[in-house]
Amino acid sequence: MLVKITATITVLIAFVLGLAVLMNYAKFERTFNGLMQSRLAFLVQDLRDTLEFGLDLGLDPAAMANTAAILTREAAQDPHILSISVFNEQGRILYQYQSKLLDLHPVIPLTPAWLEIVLQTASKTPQHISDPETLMVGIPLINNFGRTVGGLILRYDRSFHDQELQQTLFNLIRAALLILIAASLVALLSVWLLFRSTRHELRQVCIALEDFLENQQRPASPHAGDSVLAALEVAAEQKSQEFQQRLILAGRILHLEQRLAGQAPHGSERRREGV
Amino acid sequence: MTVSSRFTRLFTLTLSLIIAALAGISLYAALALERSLIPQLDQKMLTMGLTVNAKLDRALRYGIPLERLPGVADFFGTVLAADPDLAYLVLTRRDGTVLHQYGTSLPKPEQLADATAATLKMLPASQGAASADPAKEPWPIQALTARPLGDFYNLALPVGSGEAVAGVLHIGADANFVMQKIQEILFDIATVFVIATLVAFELLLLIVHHYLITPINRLEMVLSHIADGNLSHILPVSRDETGWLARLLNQLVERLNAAHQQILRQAASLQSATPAAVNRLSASLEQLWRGFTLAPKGRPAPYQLADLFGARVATFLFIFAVELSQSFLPLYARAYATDLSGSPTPLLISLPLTVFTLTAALSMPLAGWRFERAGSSRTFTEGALLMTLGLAGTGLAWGFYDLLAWRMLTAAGYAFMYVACQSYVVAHAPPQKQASSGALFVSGLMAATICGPAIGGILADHIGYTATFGCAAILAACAGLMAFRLLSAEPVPASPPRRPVRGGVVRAITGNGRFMLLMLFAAIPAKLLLNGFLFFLVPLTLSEFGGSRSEIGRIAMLYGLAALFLGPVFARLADRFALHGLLVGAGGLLAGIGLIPVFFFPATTGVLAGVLLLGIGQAMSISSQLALVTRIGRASIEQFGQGPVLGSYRLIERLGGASGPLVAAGLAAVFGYPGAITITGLLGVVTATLFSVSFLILGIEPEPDDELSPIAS
Repeated sequence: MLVKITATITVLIAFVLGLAVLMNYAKFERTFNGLMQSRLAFLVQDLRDTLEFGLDLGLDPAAMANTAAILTREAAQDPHILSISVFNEQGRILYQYQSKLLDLHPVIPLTPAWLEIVLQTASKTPQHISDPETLMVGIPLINNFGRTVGGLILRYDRSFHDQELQQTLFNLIRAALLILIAASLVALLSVWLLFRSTRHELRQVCIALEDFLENQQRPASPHAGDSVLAALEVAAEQKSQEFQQRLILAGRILHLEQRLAGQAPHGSERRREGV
Repeated sequence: MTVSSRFTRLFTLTLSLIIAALAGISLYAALALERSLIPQLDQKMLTMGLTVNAKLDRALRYGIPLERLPGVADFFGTVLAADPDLAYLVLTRRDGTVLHQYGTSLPKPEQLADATAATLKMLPASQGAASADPAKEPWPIQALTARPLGDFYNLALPVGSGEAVAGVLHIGADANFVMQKIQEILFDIATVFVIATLVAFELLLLIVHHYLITPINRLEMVLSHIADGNLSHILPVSRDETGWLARLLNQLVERLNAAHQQILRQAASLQSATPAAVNRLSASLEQLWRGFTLAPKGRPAPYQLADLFGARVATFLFIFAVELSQSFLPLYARAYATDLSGSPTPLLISLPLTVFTLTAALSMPLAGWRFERAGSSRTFTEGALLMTLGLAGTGLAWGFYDLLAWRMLTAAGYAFMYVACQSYVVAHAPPQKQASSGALFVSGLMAATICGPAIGGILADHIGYTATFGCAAILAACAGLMAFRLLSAEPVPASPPRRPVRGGVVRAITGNGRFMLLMLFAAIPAKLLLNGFLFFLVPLTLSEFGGSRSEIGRIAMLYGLAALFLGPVFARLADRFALHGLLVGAGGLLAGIGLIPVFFFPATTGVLAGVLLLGIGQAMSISSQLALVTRIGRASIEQFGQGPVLGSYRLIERLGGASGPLVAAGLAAVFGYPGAITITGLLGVVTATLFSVSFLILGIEPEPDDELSPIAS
């Protein structure tokens, strides 16, 4: 009983902690993603503004000579930026910054489908795409006639992002487990204290009944305690003794009847001995 | 200390531990999130700061002094408008004087002056005097981090002019940024606490009853039987203290029965040998056994005590499983309906809900038939299987039509489980405790109605629809296992001889004008409002208002809370002052009135008030309605029995409920969701008024002289 009640309380606390971890982690994930995405979006928007300034002056995207330097300068702000690519409306890469990290850990190259998603975007809001290795933020380049003339995509190292999330989840789960263990121990101790007297009562009644079963001739035991259960046990013992007395009486009656019928084993033996 | 006071202490202990655990994990989460999020916030502020800085620097390079730059505050406003995480942008001169600023809240000028001075002091001498152009000579970015400044995190970036630093750009975010994020989930945490309290109550009640109160009651009963000379029962033996005592008691009973059997066998052999002694011996022994009841053939039967709390927890679990999806089912159905027809009509969206209610209502008689033949445990387990499959299928449905089929399967399972639990309680409750046993079942049901939508909303928000339906399926399976374990020992209650009464009941109740008025103006509108408003219009309306699924669940939970806590209060008041008619009328009016303002004030608060008033109104009317049914239908009950009359009442009520989503969808198609809510409310007000007027004129029971000319015949 003690274990079952404690286990129930533990399950309840685990349920509560599980939900709390889930909610806190979900909040963290959303906030973390929000901060990261808005930062990268801001970077990409700033790049777009710079490049569109050139477009507004009538320059062709392919002819903007300082683009590579601008990309390198922006990428220098964060070592986890893997690449920044500027492409034209046909999806051909015109300029690209690539981090040295890519030489060590190459990632899947940009696919035409992703470039198409960026080019198809009607609004100036950055598009967020992700693959197993990178987070991508893309935005179309629109000239002052409102025509999409290309786009740019920034790829960010996902391992850093995933590692942060995993670390936080791990920390939350570890804390929840520690709290669960502590709460379970407190529950076990409290339940033990709370039901100590009940167990004591039951044990007393058990001892009295065991004693009675071993030595049924003794008078009904008064030491079973003063609970309802103990009083009933004493009454049951008395009634059992009464029934046992009746069984003894029945045995005697049978014995007498057997003797009367001349069937009693001792009587026959004796008769046989006499013969 | 009594068992109930021990239970209270145990419950208090559990609640304290839950609160402590929630507080502990929330505190830890706040610290852990701060540790992880602040560097990200820092980096974002730096990125934005450098970008803004570059633009200011360009102006400086053209020789425009910072104080003469036009439109800087507007430019800051544009930057901040795109990012709600930041609080302000301020440009100061080298001496700390504020030149341009924009922000929802700002630090004090002297704080900014101090921060400016501190930043300039940190600069290397060469950079303070010479170029600080980030484009030409990159700043040591890692060294630039945000620092606490009053109520903010402030990042200060020197603005270079090529010759010397001309000023400092300050970017700020609220210092309580992380705490604000944590506070956003406080409502969810509070919801979890409410749910945990109810679940704790249900589970502890079950555990304490199953492992302590019921075994001790059984021990007391068998001991008192022995004390009365009844030696025909033994007890089930568990592996704890009560089991130890039960084993000893069984030994005693079996030993006495065995000794008795031995005497009987000896007597039988003696009687067969000497027929002359038969009468004398029988008379003597019979006199000896007088006052004692022994087990037939010396084999004592196990003493069984029906575990009504098991039925209650099984009810709680399966209703919980069904209600888990209640707060988002219309949104889920809308997604499938959109796949089917682009922009779906509300009628199409309402179909899964209608199909569910209708199937559940129509499956009830079949479930009743099954219960009579297979018993509660088997009926419940079959229902659990159907529901598990139905819920899992709903979560994995690949189209609108199979979604409907899965909902039908779930509803059939629901009907089986509902009937199995309700009938089990009715069949096994002691005659003097029928009402309180019924209340036991209803409380389990209401507790689940509170927990389900709220937790379902939270889960759907965080783990998605499919996983939430998966959780619901697991819960339904657990309910089945629990019922199999707790209800399996019970024999199938003997069914009374069936009478072909259904047609007669229908004729009798349709011929009873008062009964029909009660159905038309109180029972059906109540269910219509519940299913049409709470289960259909509330999720869709709140979603239209931008509410999350957690929020929808929390608001739907209010209905259950009001009904759970106020229902018994109103029921007692109604019984004590004979206010049944008044409470049904007033409850209906209140429920209807609560919905009317939504069209005029289309906001979450309006819907919330509507749900709350619906809960209060229905808490007033539901139990009184049942009392009125038994009073108005007394003649039919005397003729056909309570079961068929109440069964017909439930069926009519449920069919009314099935029409709820359809009516609401029809109204929403014409008037929009807030308009539909208001018209549904008006419908509630009109029917409640008609009910009140009718019964004010007719009275609840006919006057003696009316009986000669019944109002409807």
